[in-house]
Amino acid sequence: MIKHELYKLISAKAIVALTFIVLIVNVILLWKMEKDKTSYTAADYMNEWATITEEARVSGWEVVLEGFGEKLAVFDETGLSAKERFALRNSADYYKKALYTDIQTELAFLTDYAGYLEGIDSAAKRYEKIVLFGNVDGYAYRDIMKMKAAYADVDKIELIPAPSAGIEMAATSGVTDILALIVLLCVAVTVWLKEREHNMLLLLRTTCHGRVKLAGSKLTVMIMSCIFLGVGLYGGNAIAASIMYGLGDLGRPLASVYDYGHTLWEISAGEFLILNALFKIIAYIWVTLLISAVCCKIRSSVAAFGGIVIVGAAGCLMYYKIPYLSLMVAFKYLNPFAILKTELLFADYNGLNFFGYPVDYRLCMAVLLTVGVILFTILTMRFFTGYIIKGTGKSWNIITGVFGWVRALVVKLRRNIEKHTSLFVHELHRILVCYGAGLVLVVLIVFVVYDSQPYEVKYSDLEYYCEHMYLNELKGPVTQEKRDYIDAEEARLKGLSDEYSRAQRRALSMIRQRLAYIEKNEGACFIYDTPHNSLTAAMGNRTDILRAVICMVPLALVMPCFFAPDLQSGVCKITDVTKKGKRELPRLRYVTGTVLAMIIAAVAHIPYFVQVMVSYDVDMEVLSYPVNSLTNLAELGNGINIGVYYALIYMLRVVFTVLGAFLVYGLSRLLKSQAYAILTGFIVLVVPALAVLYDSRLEAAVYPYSAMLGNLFIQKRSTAVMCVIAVAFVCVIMKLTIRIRSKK
Amino acid sequence: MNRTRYTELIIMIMSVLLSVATFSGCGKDNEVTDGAFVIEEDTNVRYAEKFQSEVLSEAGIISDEDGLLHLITIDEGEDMVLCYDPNCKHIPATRNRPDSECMAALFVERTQTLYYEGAIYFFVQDGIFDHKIYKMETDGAGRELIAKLPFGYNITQCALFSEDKVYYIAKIPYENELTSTIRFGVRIVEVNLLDGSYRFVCEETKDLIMQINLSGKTLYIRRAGAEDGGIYATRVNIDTLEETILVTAEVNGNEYAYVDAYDEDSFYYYGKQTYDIGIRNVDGTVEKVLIKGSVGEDFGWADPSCDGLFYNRTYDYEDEPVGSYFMDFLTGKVINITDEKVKYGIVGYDGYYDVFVAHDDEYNWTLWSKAKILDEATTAD
Repeated sequence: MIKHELYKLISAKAIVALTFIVLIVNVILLWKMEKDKTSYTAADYMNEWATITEEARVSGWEVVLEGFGEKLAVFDETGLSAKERFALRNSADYYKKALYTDIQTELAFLTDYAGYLEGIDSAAKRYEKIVLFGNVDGYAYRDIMKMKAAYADVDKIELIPAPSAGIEMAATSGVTDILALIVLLCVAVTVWLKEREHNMLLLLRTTCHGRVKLAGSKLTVMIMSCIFLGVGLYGGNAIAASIMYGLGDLGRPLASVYDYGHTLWEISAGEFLILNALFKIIAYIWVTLLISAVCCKIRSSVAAFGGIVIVGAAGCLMYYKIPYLSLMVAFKYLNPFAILKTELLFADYNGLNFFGYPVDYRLCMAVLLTVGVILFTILTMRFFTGYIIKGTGKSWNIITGVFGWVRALVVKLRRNIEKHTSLFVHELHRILVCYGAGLVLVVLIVFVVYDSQPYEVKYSDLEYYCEHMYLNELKGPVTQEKRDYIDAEEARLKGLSDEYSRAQRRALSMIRQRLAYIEKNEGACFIYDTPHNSLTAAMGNRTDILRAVICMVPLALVMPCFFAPDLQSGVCKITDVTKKGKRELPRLRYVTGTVLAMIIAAVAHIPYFVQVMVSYDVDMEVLSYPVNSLTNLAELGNGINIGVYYALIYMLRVVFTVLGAFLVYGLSRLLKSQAYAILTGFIVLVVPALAVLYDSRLEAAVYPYSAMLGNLFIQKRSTAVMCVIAVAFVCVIMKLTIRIRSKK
Repeated sequence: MNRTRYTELIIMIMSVLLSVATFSGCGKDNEVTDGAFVIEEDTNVRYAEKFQSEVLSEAGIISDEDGLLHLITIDEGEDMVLCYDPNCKHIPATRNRPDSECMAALFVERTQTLYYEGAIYFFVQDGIFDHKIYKMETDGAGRELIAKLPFGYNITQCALFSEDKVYYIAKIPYENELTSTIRFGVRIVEVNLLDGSYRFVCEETKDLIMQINLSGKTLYIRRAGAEDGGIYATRVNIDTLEETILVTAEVNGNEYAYVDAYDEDSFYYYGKQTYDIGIRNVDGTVEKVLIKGSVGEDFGWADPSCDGLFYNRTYDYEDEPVGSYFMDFLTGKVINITDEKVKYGIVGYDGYYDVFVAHDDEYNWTLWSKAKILDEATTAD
């Protein structure tokens, strides 16, 4: 059975192709991110290490380390004038400052490893001085005692300095795990949802091995996929790292790799690479089993994907939003997203605070992984074997059981409402109610409305408040009266030394700079631009990308509901021969989908605009000022005003959201599976944006979607061109594929 | 009677004698033989002694430097980052990376700290009109948001803790919509550290508030007296919020000045004509003269705290002190510590931790234990 399940997976060309693409993309992204990480190149790093290793053979590492002081002295800016500083920072060799600093830091640690371990021994004494505090019954004291005990067995060996970047690159890559998750999601869909969508499960569960054995073999295949991916991806990373930096002597202690210098594991670098891949695989299995449990429990594909998105988003939020110094820090490290960061297991001792008692992070992870694997396996098996035709099974969910009578009432009401023959109303009912698109919309609206409450404007300093007040006073075109007003204010404030007057003086100096800018740019007006900076991506595209994700997630969830179910079940073959089914139904679906996509775009984008406008109490009059009044849009000149600019970006967003919806339609028609269409929609529309949010160095990934972001499309011409080309390319490919398929 | 009964009898007699001795010491008779006197200062109140950005604790001075909290130990003056983790690289928070892993890291926003009973309180500016208070137990368990408050703050000179409450100056912004300008009113705020609630405990003033002291239900406020018609000190009942003028230019401001709280109904003063330092009732009558003044000698300042008084004598209002002294309330002895003041740069005394506060010319702050300073002074005499 395992063989057959495996064959089923391998015979899915899309999965094989995706896995292949992911393995290649992983290496490319890793290489690019590593390249952009520092101002110096891998060759510079390795050459410098080769040079100092030679020097160390002659004079010893201590002398080499001292030598870095002299090397860095060249870049010391003390006493330099602004001009000299500028010249120094723009010199050809300036990148060496970062290179020398990084290597010096590595070297300083590696040559004093024994000192570091002794420091842990003396930490308790030091703590008694710090703790005052006199509290030896607190978390910190317990933690330090545990740490001391943990490091007591670590040998005080002498480390031989060697470059660390290769091992670090091979073991630490956030993007690798995200790519692995994409493939695992596809595998989970193929393994768990495909048969269910074709109603094959009803048949299979009546066969001899159709329940526990089948579930067991499916789980085995999932685990095999995790192993394959873990080995493939981290093997690829190791090869990429060995080409870029070289892995060095794999037999050297792990502590000699700078990022893992505080490790408690007395293993070699080579063993670390193997163990790290092993733990990654276990983490993948954990996540895969969680996805499997969700897929098996939730009957609707939309709801299953929605559940996975919510679990993933909650994990990400916990990992990125809980501060390191929070009382809730345990949740930062122990959640479905953070569990993938297994490299932290090797980094150092970390005592997570549980009600004042430190618990070793490694132990927490071991428990979480073990319990998770067992629990999710049991749940998946139970949900899979308990699969029963909708409506006839005994409900496992207590809430649905308790509120069963509410459901009965709803069914009764629905029957009364559904007594009609309107195609439009039936179609709307099918999409919004039967496939849960209505629920997705409600969740979106609730989330966006909650997220878009007007906020209180904060000024980091009094001068920014004063600048706001002055710009409110001066707003509009520059006139002689306004120039006189600025002069008069400057004269009035001369000699005043109170806090507010000083802030006003600083604000006036900013107003002067603004005046100089306006005089250089024809047509520009005085305007308080902080609210517009947020809306025109003056500080980067992160907010726009986030809004685009908020827009594209419901799009990917909802749009496959239009065509995929009929194509999947073959109902379209019946509807195609009916009077309304041939032309009116597809037309209706396109129109309804377009309207729905427009609603989604409006809900995702417009509340944010309103939120900023209301929070800053922006006067609508400023929308008539030329767009070059905003300094970040100076290049656009005074041909259009700010209001038109906003109209343009919102129009772009709406139009391209509709095009995105059509793309998902196309995918639905190609894939003829709702689950696959949702998944592909996510991969094509959402994943690139998420990748950029994860690491801004991957910004190029959203260039083909720049129109959905709006500002990026208008402000960076190259992205606009890429976007148009991408749309044309996708249209042609889709058209051709659909034509070939329909001919077949 | 057996041996056990004898023992019980002896214990009972001793207990009775001890009780009589204890209760006979109660009452408000401050006169104690040999010049010593009973201290009435409210032991529930803890003044958050703050010198510039430095704050006192029982282990030493907590100061902030380069975005990290440091501890400078008493007497030894050892300066260490206030983070116990040997694996920590002590990287302060920055705008690009506001979430630092180091427990000594300050917040990215303008932050001031206070210390009270094993916890550090971070007063973090949240915009110019709001601030937040975070609490971090010094056992390193993490930080907890205590309160979000819709006004600015000033804790540099005036902040004190009493049980679960903290009192300090609130800077309340007022926007003038006609002139588009802003002004700040000043009030004393009481924040409940358990639930984050707050209330104002005095009327708004334009005056500079120099000092606040609390004893029982009485909050003493010392003001600059320049803006509000020469009011130098008031007292507020923190239950009824009734505010009474204590020292004012028109009535008694030329006669004496408010120095510190003694108890709910009396305060330390210094006489502007007599140069005495002592205790007065709130009705103005002298309760006790602690230090007799002499003509021609004014004193620079006096710093009473718990069991002692540290004061400076100057001559004819000149800055250079004639002498610096410490009066031990428990023994009534006055010790000349002029040489020690010059040697160590002593600028204050804290009776809670029994330390003298000092700094050098470059404002490197240190704490010296009372025992050390007084020993040196006594030996020299």
